Amino acid sequence: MRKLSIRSRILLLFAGAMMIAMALTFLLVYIVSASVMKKTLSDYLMSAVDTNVDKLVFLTAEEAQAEKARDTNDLFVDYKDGVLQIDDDFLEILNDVESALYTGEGDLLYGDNSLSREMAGEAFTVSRLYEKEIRGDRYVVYDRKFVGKKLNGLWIRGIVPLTRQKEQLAQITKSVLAFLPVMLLMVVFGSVLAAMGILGPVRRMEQTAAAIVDGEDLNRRIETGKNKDELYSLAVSFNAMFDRLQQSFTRERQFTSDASHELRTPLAVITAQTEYVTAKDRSSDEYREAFAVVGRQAKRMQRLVSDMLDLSRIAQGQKRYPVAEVDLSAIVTTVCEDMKRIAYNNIAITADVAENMQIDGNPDLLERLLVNLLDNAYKYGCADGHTHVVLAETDETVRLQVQDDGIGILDQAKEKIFDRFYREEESRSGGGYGLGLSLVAEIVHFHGGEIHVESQKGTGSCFTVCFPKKDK
Amino acid sequence: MRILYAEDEKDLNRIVTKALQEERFLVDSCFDGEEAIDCLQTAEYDAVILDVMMPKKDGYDVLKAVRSKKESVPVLFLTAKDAIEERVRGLDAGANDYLVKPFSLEELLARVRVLTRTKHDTQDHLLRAADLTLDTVSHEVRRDGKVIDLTAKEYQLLEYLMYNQGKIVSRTQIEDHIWNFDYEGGTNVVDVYIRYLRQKIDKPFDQKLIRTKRGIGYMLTGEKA
Repeated sequence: MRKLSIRSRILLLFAGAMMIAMALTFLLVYIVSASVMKKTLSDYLMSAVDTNVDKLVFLTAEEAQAEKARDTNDLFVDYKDGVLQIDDDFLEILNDVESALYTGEGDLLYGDNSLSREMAGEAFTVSRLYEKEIRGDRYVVYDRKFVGKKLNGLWIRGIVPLTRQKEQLAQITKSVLAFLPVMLLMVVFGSVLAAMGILGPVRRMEQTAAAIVDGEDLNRRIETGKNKDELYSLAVSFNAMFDRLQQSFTRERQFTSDASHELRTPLAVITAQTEYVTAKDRSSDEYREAFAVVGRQAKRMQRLVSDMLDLSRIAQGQKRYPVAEVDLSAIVTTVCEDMKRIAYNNIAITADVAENMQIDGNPDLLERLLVNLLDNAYKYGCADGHTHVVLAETDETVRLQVQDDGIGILDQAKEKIFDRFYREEESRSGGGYGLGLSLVAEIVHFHGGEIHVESQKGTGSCFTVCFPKKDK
Repeated sequence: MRILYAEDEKDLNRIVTKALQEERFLVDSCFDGEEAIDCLQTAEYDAVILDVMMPKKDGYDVLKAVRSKKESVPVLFLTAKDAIEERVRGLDAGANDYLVKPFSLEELLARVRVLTRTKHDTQDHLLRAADLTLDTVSHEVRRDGKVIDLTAKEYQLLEYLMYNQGKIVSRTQIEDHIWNFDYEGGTNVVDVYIRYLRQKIDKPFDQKLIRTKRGIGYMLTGEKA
């Protein structure tokens, strides 16, 4: 069953259900017809017997003499001290019902045939139908006792074979069986239609998905159709998934392209530099400069590669960077002290750090976060500027703020600054690669925190990072 | 041949400038787009090499400034963007050539030579005037089969005159093509170098190739007077 396609499963299920329904219907028809037929048969039997009861008269010998003289068609049987007159209307066989007349002791008086003879001596049952098997065939029997002067002690017995009923049931069965292949064909056809109706949209979805896989065309989407049914919501979900995939795919591709672009420039310098010095004999100054340039550019590539590696490692989650309770206050204080020492452009760093701020985090990453933020403040700060770091507690978060009085960020750039390789003016003039803030964002995300920036071009920027408080 | 080179990566700018100078090109190098546009407005160039991503104004902005000038200057884009769409975009915007970083200096120089040749309507790397030849690749100058040694400036002057064979070029034009902004010499510097050049290529021979057009400038021609 597992290996079957849904289409075949629907087909099988549908056909199976239809077959069971058909079988049940047939069974019901069979049982109902059997009981109806039996009722009809019993009615015939009883009416035949009841009719025949009126056809019997007890006569004295003289009366009988007179009757015989008047009417010759009737039958006269001696009984006890008189004669029984059996009307010529007495029907021995009516609608397959065979009637016979017996004495109370079971002797056959009238209606002689093989069946009645066989049944002679059989005990009578009062006013009830019963079944009897005679020579392998089943019969229904009805006994009726005569009541009236001189007729007491006489019995009339009706007997009807069940074979007729059997034949009719067989007939019904036969026609049903004859109809069965047609029904089966219709059921299969219906199942195929149903399967197609249900699976058509699914198939189209599958084809679209396959087209996306084969053609690498991520722009394609599944048709949602008009009916807002389950398949509609499935298609909508799929399309949302494709959107998401395309987004991250585009982002990755952009990242790769940007990364290769960033690596190309130092490579170009190294290639040009080595080609230049090896083209002919150069002075030792030129060689020295060439090595310095190559070393500088190699270091630049190394920094870029390690930043990129860090980005992808953080994305891997906690396997790489174990999380434990850390004292953020201590980290902030240390980093600020260190950064003060490498003072750049005469920019001052001051810090206002609340004590003993504990969060769940990775100390290396948190250190990196603040270093990058301060680095940024240095890079985009103005000479003799001032950067202020605040670590404080709010109701639900631990908040870290880095406020500078540097060149600030344009409004339209605010959303982009956390993108990888984004730099204002799309240039390398700042000396960075545009990975610093995206690393920051990645680290904040890793710690389940939030980051936002307020800035005004020309007056400075303020980065605010909120970490969730440690669970107590 | 005077070339404008704009590239914001300082190391790369320095080394490419050096290599171009070694090839006896006169190079004005700048570090951003705005500077490049300024240069274009004040001087005439035989070729322009542009990085696409530059601060202030990018390569496309500079290209627009180049194309807005009357005289057509061949432009080569030098960029790290290697996607086909980027190349197509660059060429469609009017760049004559496109080279992706990292590149070979050798190739860059060859392409620049092609660009300058195209500008002066020659297909060959060998320039000729009567029995005087100048090889723009090996920088060898011969007259009547004999090699003539020239200094860098003399070579540049001769090359410029040979590219403009049969045309009169003014002192200002010569100055513009042979001396860059770093030069602050006197006004007769062109005359001085013409004299040096005549000493070497004209004096030992009967046919004089460099002619003085009084009051206008100079002309080099292989035709007999």
